[in-house]
Amino acid sequence: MANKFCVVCEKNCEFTVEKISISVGREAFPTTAEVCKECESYKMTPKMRREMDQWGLGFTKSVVEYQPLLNETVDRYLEEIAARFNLQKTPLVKILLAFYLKDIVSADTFEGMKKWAQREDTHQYTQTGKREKKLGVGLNYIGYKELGLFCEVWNVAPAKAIEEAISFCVCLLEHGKTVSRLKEIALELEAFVAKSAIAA
Amino acid sequence: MALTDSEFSAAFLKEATPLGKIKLAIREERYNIWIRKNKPNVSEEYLLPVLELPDGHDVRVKRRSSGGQGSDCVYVMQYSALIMGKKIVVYLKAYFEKDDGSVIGLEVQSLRNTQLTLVEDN
Repeated sequence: MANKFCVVCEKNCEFTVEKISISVGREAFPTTAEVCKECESYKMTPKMRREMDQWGLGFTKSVVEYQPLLNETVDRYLEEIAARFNLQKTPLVKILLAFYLKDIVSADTFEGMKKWAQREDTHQYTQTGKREKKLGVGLNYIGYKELGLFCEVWNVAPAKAIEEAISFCVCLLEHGKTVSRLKEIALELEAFVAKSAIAA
Repeated sequence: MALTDSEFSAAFLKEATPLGKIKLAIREERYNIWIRKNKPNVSEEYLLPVLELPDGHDVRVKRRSSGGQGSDCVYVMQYSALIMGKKIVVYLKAYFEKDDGSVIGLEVQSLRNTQLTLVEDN
């Protein structure tokens, strides 16, 4: 037990070395930290961050599963696209999500593209169909972290963010090539899916 | 190659501006982010855009009213960052940790997305 300055309590407090676990999807990273006895705050140090990344990258299975809801139109599009690339639906969704988070979201034109996807004439392609179907999408540690950051920034639930990514990418694949300013990124997405399909 | 504690402390003293000192700590990965239950901090990705800020970016340096271990001053700043396609304004409040008189790293007290939370003022 040691007396140290706690930045949250803004005074000297008792700190004890405790075993803690940091939630990572359905897993928990076990570590030790000096925890303030009064407010339970602790420091996330560079060493802890590195160890947590190493731990997370050690999982060969997914660390979390989300269940986005797909309407029948999107589901049908997904099935068609998956068949075109000889993929199952879930691996296809992971490929689309990866492209969305790494390429589409980081593009300077992201806001403009979002507006296009929400336009009535584009929207109608993916927002019709009443029946909704759940799809289980397991993510590895990297996927969990990337999606987590997106959700934190946009203040949206993970399953909703996946639904948005699927809907956007389906629109882009099916109709983007006919819009001159979207043609390039639509072709990039198509090439990415084709390449990833070989590895899937 | 990462700097040793004494090399970091020397480099810290050489930096002429508060922003330069903060950038040094981030570049050298010498920052601790406090995980707190009240007013939770956001993740480290919000801290990294500081490295891209121009030298003249405003950093308020205030005397730490609470005292305690570390530097006498607390550094407070706000900056715009494009994270995951969204332009947000980040609030940062931090001070430097000392060990035996040497400066060893940045202690991040508050790291917030101002669009989601009201920032504290002092």
